[in-house]
Amino acid sequence: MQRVSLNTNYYILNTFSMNYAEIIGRFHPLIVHLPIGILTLGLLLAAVSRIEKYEMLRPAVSFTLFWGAAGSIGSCVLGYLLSLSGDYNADLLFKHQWTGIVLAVVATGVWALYRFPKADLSFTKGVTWILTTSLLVVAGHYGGALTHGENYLTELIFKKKKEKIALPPTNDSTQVIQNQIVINENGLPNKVLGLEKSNILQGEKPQIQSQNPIKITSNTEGPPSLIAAAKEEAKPTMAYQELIQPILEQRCYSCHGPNKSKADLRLDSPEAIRKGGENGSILTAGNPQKSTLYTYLVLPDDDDMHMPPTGKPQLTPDQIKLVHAWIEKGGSFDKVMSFSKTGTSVNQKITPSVFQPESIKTAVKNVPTSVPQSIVLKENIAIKEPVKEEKKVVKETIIDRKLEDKEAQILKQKVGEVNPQMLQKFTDQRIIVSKFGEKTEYVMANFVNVKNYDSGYLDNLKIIDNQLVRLKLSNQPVKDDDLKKVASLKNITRLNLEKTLITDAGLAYLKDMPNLEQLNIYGTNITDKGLAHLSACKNLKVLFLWGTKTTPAGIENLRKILRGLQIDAGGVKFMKQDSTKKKVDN
Amino acid sequence: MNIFEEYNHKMNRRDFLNGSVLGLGATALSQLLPSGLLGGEPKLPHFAPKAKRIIYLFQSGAPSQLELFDYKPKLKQMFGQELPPSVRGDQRVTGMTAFQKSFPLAMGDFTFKQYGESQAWMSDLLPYHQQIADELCFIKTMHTEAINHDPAVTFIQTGSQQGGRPSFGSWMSYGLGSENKNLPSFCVLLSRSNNYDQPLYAKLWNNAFLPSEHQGVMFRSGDDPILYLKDPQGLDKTTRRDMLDALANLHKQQIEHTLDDELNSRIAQYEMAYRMQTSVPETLDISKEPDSVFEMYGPNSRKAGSYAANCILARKLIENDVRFVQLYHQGWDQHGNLPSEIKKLAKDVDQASAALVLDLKQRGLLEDTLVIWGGEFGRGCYSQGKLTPDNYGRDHHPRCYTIWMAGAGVKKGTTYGETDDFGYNIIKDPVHIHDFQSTVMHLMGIDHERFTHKFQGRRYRLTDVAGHVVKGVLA
Repeated sequence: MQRVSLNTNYYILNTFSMNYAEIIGRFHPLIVHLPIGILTLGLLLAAVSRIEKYEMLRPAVSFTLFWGAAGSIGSCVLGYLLSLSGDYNADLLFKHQWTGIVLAVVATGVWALYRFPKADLSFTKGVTWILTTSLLVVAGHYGGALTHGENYLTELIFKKKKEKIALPPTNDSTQVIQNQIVINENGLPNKVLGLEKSNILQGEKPQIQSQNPIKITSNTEGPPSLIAAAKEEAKPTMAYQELIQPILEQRCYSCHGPNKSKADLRLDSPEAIRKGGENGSILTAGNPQKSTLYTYLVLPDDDDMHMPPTGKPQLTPDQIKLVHAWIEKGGSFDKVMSFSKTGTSVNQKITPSVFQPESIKTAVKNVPTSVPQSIVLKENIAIKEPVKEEKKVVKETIIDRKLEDKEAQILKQKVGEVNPQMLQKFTDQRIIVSKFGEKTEYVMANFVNVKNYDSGYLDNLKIIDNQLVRLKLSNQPVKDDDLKKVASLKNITRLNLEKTLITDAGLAYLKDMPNLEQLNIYGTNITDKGLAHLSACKNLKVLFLWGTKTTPAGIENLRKILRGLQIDAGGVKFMKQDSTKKKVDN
Repeated sequence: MNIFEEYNHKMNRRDFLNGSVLGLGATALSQLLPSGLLGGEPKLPHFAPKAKRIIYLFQSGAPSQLELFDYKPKLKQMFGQELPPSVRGDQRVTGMTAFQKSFPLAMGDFTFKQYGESQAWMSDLLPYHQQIADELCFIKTMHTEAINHDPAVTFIQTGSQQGGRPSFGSWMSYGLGSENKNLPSFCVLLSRSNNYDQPLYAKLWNNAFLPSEHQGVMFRSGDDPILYLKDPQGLDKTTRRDMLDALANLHKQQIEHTLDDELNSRIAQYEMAYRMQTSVPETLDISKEPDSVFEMYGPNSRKAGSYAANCILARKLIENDVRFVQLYHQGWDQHGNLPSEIKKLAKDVDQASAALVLDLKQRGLLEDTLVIWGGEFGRGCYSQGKLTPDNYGRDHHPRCYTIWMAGAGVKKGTTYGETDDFGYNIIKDPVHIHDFQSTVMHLMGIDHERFTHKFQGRRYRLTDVAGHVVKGVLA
C-alpha cells in the first residue's frame, strides 16, 4: 500500500511549523468524539421532537446541531493536521478524510435547516438526516480502522470461529482431560498420535491446526485449554508464521502495519522487519539484547520507548519470552522450530517427543543414517544446518571430548511433560524420578530406595523414555538381559551400574546408547572382554572401572579407540609422607 | 485453660468451614496456577544441578590459612617486625589483641611448595592434600563480618550472625528433599582434637522456622549413633509398628483440630526414626570396610568418632544418596602455641580429607558430589601474645581466609582470589560468606534469590539480602 505523499503538504507548512501542526493534530482523537456524540444527540432530538409528546425538545435541536457541526469542522481541521505526520495508510486516510469533510458540510447543512426552518423542507430534512447519520457511522468507522486496525471490530468474531475449527473435536473440557489420562501402549495420548502420524509420516510440513498462538496465550488462562496446549506442545511449528507473526499482528500491526507505520516501521512482513525503521535495524539475529524488537518490549513501563505504548494492550510475559527465544535462535522467518509450554525456549531441533508414536520411531530406525533421530528434523526444517553438526563431529574426534556436551544438547531440546499418573507409578515402586529443573521436563531416575528390584521396573521407564536422561541402578541386582531394556532408553547420558550383577555379555547391549557419556561399572565382574564392547559407545567420556576384573592392557586398548576417554580405575595409593609429591593414581 | 486448649476451642465450626473452603479453593487454584505462586513446598532445583549432594568438612575454630595455603614469604622475611599500620588501617581486632602494644609479624618454620599441574601452593603440613592439588579449587579470599567464633560459624552455616535461621543443610533438605527415604537428608558428624575447644551448638544444624524434619540429625560415634533409636528389650517390630500407626492416627485427628503443621513433621520424624532403626546401623557400620579403606583414610580411621572415621561415614552416607553431610572438626582455635598445635590438627584432617576426595572420585561420586573444606574465618598475620623464634599465636582474622572445594561443577586445579603480601587484606576477587553460599546453591541448581521461606511476614533466604554467584570457581 502507498503512503501519503507529503510533497504537496510541504508547500503549505514547512517542517518547523509541522511539528506544532502535529502536536495540535494529535488532539484529533480527543476532539473527534465530541461531534460524534453531539451530532448523534442532535439527530436524535430532531427525530423524537417530531413526536407530539416530545415537542418541547424542538428548541434544543438547532442548538445541539450547531455545536455538533462546529465540532465536526474543528475535527476536520485537527484531523488534517494529524494526517501530515504521514503515519497512516493513504487509502484509508483518504476515505476517512473525505467522509469526515462531507460530514462536516452536511452537518452544517442540517443545522441550517433546523435553525432557519421552512415549511416545505421537511423532505430535505429527512434526506439530510439520514445522510448525516450514515456519514457519521462511515467516517467514524474509518477513523477507528485507522487507529485500531482494519479488522479490529471483526477479529474476535473471526478468531472464535477459527478456534472452533482448529480444536480437535474433543474441545469439551472433560473429554480433553480424559484424553490426557487415557494412554495407549506407547504412553501417548491417542488423539495427538493421530495428528502427528499423518503429518510427519507423509513428510509434509506440519499443519498446525490449533497452534494459533492467540490460543496459546489464552490457554494459560484456563484449565481445559491448558491441557490442550500441553497436548500440542511437542509439535513442530513454522516459528515465525505460527508463533511470532500472530503476536505482532495482535499487538503491533495497529501502529506498525499497513494502516500506520509509526517511526517509519512496519512489522507486517519479513522484509519490513528486516528493513527496520527510522532508527535503523530492529532485529539482530541470534542476539535479542541487540534487537530493539525485543528490548523495547522489556523496557520499564514508564519508559518512553516501551512497546506497546502504555495503555495499549501489552504482550504477555510468555509472548515476550517467545519473541526472545525466536530471536535468540536466529530470528528466522522460514524455520521450523518447536516450542515448549512454558514458552521459554524455541529449539531448532525437533526431537522425537513423548507424543511421537511408535511407528515414527520405527521409521526413524529404518532410515540408514548416522543421525538416527533426524528424520523429523530433516523433513521439517526448511533450512538445515548440517555445517554445525559436522563441526561437532570433528571436534569430538580430534580434541578431547568435552564432558556433558551431549547432555546439555538433550536438555536444550524440548520435550513433553511426564504424565503425573505415571510418576505415581514410579513412586509406588520407590523409584525416584526427579526433574532437572523447573523449566524442563527432563528427569533423572534413581533406584536407591527400590526394595525388591524386578526387571519389569525397567519396562516402565520406557514411558518416560523421552524425558529420562540419567539412570542410577547402583547396588540393585541388575542382570545382563536388563541392560537390553536400559539400552533402549535413548536419551540416557549417565548410567550408574556399579555393584550390580552385570557381566561382559550385558555390556554388548550398551553400544546402542548413542548419548551415553558417563558409565559407572565399578564393583562388577566386567573383564577386558566386556570393556571391548564399550568401544562402540562413541560418546562415552567418563568410565569408572574400579574393582572390576579389567586389566591395564584392556583399559589401554579402549583408550586408544575412544580418545580422550577418562577412565578411573581407582585404587588410591598415597605416597608416604616423607617421599616427594605426585600421587599414584590408577 | 492453657494456651493450647484455648487455641483448640477457637477452632469452632465456622472457622473450620472457612478454613476448609479456603483450603479446597486453594487446592483447586494451586492446580491451575504456576507452582510457587501460592507458596508451599518449593519446586527445586530451579535449573539443572551440577551437584546433587554436599559434604561439608567444617574446620571449626578457624584454621590458619597462613600456615596451610596462603603462602606469604614476607612474613618470614619481616619476622618480628611490626605489621605496617597502613595495612591494618582502622579495622577492628578482637579484644584479645586490641590492647597489645605491638603487632609483630610471625611465621613459623613451614615450607611451602607448589603442587600438581595447577601449581597450587601448600605447606608441608598437608602432604596428602599436596597429592590431590589438581582436584581442588582454592578460594583464598573468603571474608566474613563476624570476628568471634559463635557468630562466625552461625553466619557461614545459616547466613546470619545471630541464631534462629535454618542451617545450610536444612535449607538444602527443605528445598531438594531426600533421595534416600531411610536416612535423614541432613546428617551431622562431630569430631574434635582437644578436650577443650570452642563449643558447637545444635543451633548450627537447626531447622529454625523450616519444618522440623529438616533438622540435621547428629550421629554419635560408637555403637549407638542415635540415642533411643533401638527398641527396648522385649518390644518386637510388630508392636512398634502398631504403636506408631496408632500414634499417627492420634496425630492426624489432632491436625484436623489444630491445623498445626508441626504435627505433620512429627509424624514424618517418627516414621523416619522407624526406618532408621534398620538403615542407620547398616549404613554407619564401617567394620565391614576392607582394610584398604582404612589404610587410605589413615591410622585414625579405625577409631570411632575420629575425623577420619567420620570421613568414611560421610562417604557411606553420600553413597546412599544423603543430601547433605556436615562434619565438624574442632580444635583449630590456636591463639597460642600455634606452630605445634597446627601440626596436630593438620595431621588429624590431612590424609582423611584427601582420601575422601579420591575415594569419592574412584566411586564416581565426585561427579555429582561437592566437597567443601574450611572454617569460619582466618587468622591474623601478627603474633598474639609473646613472639619467640619458635612460638607464637594468631588471633581471629575475618578479612581473608582460605577454603577449598572439590567435585561437581567446581573448576578443579584453580586458585581463586588474591590477598596482599601480609595475608591481611584482599587485593583481588573477594568472596563474601553470602557469595560462597549462593555459589554452592548455584551448583545445587538453586537460584539463591528465589529460594525463600515466608516466616513472620517476611521471606527469608539463606543469603539474606546479599550474595553473588562466584563464576570464577565454576567449571
